[in-house]
Amino acid sequence: MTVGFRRGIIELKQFFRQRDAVVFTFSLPAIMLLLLGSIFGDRFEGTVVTASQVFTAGMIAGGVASTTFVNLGIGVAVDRDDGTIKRLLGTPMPRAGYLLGKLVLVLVLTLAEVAILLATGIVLFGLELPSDPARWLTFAWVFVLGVSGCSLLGIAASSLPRTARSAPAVMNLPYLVLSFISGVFVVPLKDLPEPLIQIGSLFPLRWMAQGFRSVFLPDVMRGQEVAGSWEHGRTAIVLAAWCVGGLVLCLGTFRWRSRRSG
Amino acid sequence: MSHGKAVRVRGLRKSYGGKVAVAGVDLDIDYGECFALLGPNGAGKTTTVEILEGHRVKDAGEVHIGASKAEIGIVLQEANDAGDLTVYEMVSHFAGYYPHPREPMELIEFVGLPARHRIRTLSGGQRRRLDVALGLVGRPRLLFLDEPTTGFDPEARRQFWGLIKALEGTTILLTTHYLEEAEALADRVAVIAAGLIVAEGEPATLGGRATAKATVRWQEHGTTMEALTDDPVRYVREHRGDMPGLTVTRPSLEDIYLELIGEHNDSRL
Repeated sequence: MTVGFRRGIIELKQFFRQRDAVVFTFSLPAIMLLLLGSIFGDRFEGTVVTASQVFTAGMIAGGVASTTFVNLGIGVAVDRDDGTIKRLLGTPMPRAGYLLGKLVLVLVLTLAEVAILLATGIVLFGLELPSDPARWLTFAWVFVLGVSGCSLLGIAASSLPRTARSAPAVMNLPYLVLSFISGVFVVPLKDLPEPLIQIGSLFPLRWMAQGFRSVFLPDVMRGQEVAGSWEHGRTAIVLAAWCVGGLVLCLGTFRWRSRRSG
Repeated sequence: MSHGKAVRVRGLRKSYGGKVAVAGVDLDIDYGECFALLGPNGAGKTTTVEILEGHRVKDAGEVHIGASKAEIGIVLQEANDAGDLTVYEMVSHFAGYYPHPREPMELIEFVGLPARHRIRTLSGGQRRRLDVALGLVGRPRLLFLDEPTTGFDPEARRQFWGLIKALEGTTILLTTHYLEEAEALADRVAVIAAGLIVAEGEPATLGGRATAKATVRWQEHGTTMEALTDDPVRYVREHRGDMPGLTVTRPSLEDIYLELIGEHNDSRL
């Protein structure tokens, strides 16, 4: 545990000193929210809810995916390439310490990301935090399942980039595509062509976004969802399935060493 | 410590997709000695060392390392990590992984680095010295140094050698393709070519250097005379007449080395 904590501190130090990581992984969702929320501010018909508030709720899912999936996919690929992992494996540090450190990094970054997005939504777009504990319970399980699933998928995907240099491109492409077809960058999701909705529904991002909308938007807004309801049961099943699937992918594909070092 | 050796290797083999990298290597390294594995690029040095370090899996053979993981220091060959940390942050972080680490500031001073500088701003030579510091931070009994001075200019190389020489008492396995590096640092040298050890011994006697025939040269009537002999002293004593410009030379380590590697290349053709 101490090792994981020490790794976490050093990971955080390094993360926040890398300007590109801070800008693209951490600030991108907030910038997208600022842009989209300012451009599309209209009320949804027959409600008091504005599009910018809907964007805020969905962008929290986008932020979580960025600080987990994108961040880990790039981070682990770079660590494999630049000698970070190789150097650690040459010390008496237990291997799990590396992954625990990543867990600390991901948790701190993700909570900070959520806080920034919520603050933006509250200050600029008049979003109100729910007072109902049941809604915060929903937030908790969507958050835990979403972070776990997306983190495992990110670690699994870290084996895809051939080099550290190509990692940001390889990781950001699926992230951006899914953001468009999961109700993060384009709302409401139900207005999208049916095939795109179906593709987006295969992945956790759509369900995380829908889950967070159910936390931060009034229940009248469920009429804007694809199924006309929040679909909590289905959301939990899909997110949990991706946790299991991500774990299986990690166990099957994770390599401590890069391909070229055999 | 079953064999009383710091490193004992028998019949080590490793291939990559049918291409043999290590073809049956035996090594014995005593505690406290600096042992150099010398050979041209692609001879199998790095593969051998990476197997001993635990970074690669062997195909066959026996490897015994007489040191625990906490007693081993590894100096990486081409690491590029942690550019955004300072030298001090990096060294003290890694000190935390060992039971009896060196004092980070003393170590940083010893290798001559600026403690507060970001690692990204270090020169190539400074970067390698940081790698050495990270290899030494746990007070290793056994240190692996894989081609530590590749790409150094001659002055940086000499400075680096000074650093390594100051580690007396630490068992060191050094790989290098620089002959003069092996000669400067190693107590014993093994020459590796095409995955096999082709010669082993002290630098002074490697490949029968001390007992090889000597060349006696002198001037006679304006021409250079030359003779190969097992016993140059007797040859000169028994020579009748003066021997102006007399020299006696034995093959240099480089001659021996090139011959050893050349022999091996020839036998493969």
